[in-house]
Amino acid sequence: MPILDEKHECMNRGDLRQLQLERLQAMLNRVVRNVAYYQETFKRVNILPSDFRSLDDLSQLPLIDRQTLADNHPYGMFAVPLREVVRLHPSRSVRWGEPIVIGHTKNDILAWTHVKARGFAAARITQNDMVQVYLDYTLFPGAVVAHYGAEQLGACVTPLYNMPIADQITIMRNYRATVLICTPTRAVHIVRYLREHGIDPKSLFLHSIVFVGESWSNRTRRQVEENLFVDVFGNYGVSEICMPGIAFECEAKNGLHINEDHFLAEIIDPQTGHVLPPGQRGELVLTTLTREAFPLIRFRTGVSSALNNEPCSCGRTLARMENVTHRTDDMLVVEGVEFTPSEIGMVLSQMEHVSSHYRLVILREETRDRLEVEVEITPDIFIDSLGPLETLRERIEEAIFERLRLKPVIKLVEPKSLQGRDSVVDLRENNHPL
Amino acid sequence: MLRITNLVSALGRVEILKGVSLHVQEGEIVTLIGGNGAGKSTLLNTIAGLVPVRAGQVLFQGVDIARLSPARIVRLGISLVPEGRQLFAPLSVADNLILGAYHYASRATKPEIEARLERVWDLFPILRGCAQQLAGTLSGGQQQMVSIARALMANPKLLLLDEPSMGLAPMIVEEIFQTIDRLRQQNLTVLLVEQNARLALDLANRGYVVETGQIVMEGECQDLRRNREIERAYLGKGYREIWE
Repeated sequence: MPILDEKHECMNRGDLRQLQLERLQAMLNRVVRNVAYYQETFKRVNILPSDFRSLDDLSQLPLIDRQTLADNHPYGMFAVPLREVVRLHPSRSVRWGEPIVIGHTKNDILAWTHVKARGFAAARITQNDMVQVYLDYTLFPGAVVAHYGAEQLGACVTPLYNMPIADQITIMRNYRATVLICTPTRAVHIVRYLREHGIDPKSLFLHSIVFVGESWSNRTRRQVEENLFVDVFGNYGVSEICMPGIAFECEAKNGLHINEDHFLAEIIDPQTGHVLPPGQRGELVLTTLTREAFPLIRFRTGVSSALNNEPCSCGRTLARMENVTHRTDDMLVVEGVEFTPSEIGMVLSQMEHVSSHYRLVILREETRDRLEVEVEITPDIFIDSLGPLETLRERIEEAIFERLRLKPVIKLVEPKSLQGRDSVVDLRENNHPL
Repeated sequence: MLRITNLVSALGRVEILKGVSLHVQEGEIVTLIGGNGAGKSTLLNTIAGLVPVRAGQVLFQGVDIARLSPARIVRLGISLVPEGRQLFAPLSVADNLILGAYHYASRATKPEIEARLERVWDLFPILRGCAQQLAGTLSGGQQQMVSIARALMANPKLLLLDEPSMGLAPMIVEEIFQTIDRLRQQNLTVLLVEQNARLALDLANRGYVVETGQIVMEGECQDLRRNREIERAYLGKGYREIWE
């Protein structure tokens, strides 16, 4: 199987650690000169960049998360003047919905494209391939880069944004797409659609599918592989750093290789914050080593994984992270929209005739996921007529849509009927999205 | 080939290098760019053993050379082409060159030294013609060639080049850089310090940016050339204004 960047992907671990140390030290020297947030942090914990003499010294710095990014919005964490930023990705913090913005310089985009291309080469994409990108370009900032990554390998790319599934399949057949880049959910939809419409999967020309944007279970992978006669390769990314592009699967499919020359990975105990040794499961924490515009140090990803530093049978020496199957925080992803239950709680707390009890039910329907919000009404609302109830339902629906850009189904339930029940019920087959 | 971690060195009481880590792989040309007084030359002199190491490790082919004498370091295969040529002006060019192999010289090695001299003449044909001329009477460009040639006489595995373009006409600089490129093809490894960042980044494989004794950036030269901060600081393009 081709290895795109043998020099870095198969580097001896000692050389790799030296390179990581050099890049880490250079990055720390840069952020202390240019980033207001890190100037304060270094002063607060009373250390200098020159105190970092080994990679293990990194644990002296505090962890950061999305909230840190929101607190320093807009440019408090940028390391370069705005003129050098060639792309901005605005999003919002999951907890309170505050704005977040992430920037990339030209070099950042090129490095991102390159690490993406490594993953694609491992997924057997070559210049002879026709790659169909079936992702929502507005939801996945990485869709464009996935597209660039495949182009860098010389493949022909068809970006199809939000085209309906029937059209996607027609195009797939007409132009003989050999590789599909999509979320696991969409791959499952394709399997189902083909079955329901009596289309022979062998009439497609796919040899590989690259999963991005969501986690997947082994069952989903098997289902897709067996039904579509393809090889499935997983990818992992974080939207605050690059999504996808952090890690990718090789043909061994035994963990995802982290692009360690660009990202330093740690596993911590999510409760205590202590670093855990390789092999132990905990929360994945990432530090960017080469990012120019938006360097992040010890960013908590909120996903649960474990690291394996042993060389892989594919020849790569890059450490592998275990496939992500659940999160260490309470973030939910429905139809690509990330949010926490408390955010919905906050919307509800501003409404009248609604108690503080609510329940979220997430279902997987035919072609999409659905969020149901069960809301307890208070006894003071007059329930004999449907009018006011209907208005209340609509108002809640609008308020949540306004906040999340996701249309929920609102169910009003009787007072005290939700007390003592789970506040989140995820009924999707693969119920732990990235 | 060369692996430096957390190197600290000082001139007198002033700490010049504050924890520098870098590496050079075999067959690579690696450049250090940075402003005046950033510590680039001190770094080369520290590797060559001329400036004492305060802390840190300098591994050359697996051997820690941090506290070895300059002569031992030359014997291990590291030669320095110092800033400003530093030739023996009253000696002839040929004598200058032979002195480059001083540590190796004995009756038995005479034929080998002759052979090395021959190789150096081939590399810098212009010097062959002025072998008996006094080094101090040569032009700046020729002196720089003698300086490089002298370092090559020790048959180094790693060449440390300090500001080879200093004070030279652009045409001569180009010639010298072409020679360095030829040396790379002969599988010589080079660590190059250069004020002329553009030239250095065009020639080298990788580069490090040094500021006040610390490395602030590492990368492939093509990436460094695209970095706007480097453009501003060392390639003379644009000014830094925060809200742009």
